[in-house]
Amino acid sequence: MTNANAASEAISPAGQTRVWDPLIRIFHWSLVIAFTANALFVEGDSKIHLWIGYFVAGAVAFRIVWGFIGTKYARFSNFPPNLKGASEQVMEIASNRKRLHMGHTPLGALMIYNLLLTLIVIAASGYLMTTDAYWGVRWMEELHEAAVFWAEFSVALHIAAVIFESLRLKVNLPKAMVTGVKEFRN
Amino acid sequence: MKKILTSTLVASSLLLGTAAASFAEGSEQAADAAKQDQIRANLTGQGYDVRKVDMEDGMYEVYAMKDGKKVQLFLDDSMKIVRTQDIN
Repeated sequence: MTNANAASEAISPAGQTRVWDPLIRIFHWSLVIAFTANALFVEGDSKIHLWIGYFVAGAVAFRIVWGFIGTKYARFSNFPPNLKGASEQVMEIASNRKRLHMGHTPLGALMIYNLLLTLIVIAASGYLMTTDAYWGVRWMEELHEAAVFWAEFSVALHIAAVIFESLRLKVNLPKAMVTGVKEFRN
Repeated sequence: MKKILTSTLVASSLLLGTAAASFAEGSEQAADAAKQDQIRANLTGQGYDVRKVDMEDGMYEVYAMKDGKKVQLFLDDSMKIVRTQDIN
């Protein structure tokens, strides 16, 4: 059933479609800022690192709720984890075929679940590092750092994939995440 | 298609480089074992529950508990405590 739904979304529309609601866009870009700040600039043992971390945890919690009650393309049911769809998308790229997706593509969906889970691990391990029980416990710190490294790798892959798909399908995906509108050019 | 792949690869390797650099940059490192043992023994004698001894910026950075409170201690080369910070 979910497969049939996903397939019916993958039509070839021309023109513009409003896909990302304002909350999704605010979520996305505030997460970009918060993650970049904490991963690259803010000292790990500073107060502000913790506050940014709590913000990220809150944003992820919001995204999960929004995945159930949000707008059409924000719902998890609109982009269920779908390995078959993902491998089809890989085949489609390999064979130079184009198929446009209104919402998240199957590969994009896997990246979203990966990032959400990784951020949960980062936030939870980061919080635990501040508790009496895990204060100065090295393996918790190592888990936190490994998860951050995995997130950085994933973000790099995500950006590369967005650029690649934008050029391949002639849809400006970064712009769509700003305006909320996917513009399909033929 | 080839052009797209090339430019994407260039962009992503730049990003990965940044990620890797930031990972390597993490300035905290475990202090060497002998020093660690010495610091541990010393501080344990003073009532600290020592959790971790790191090197940061040429100083020993100790994560410990004392009287149920989290503390961070900074020791210089001669093992003298130069700074104590309660973490709440």
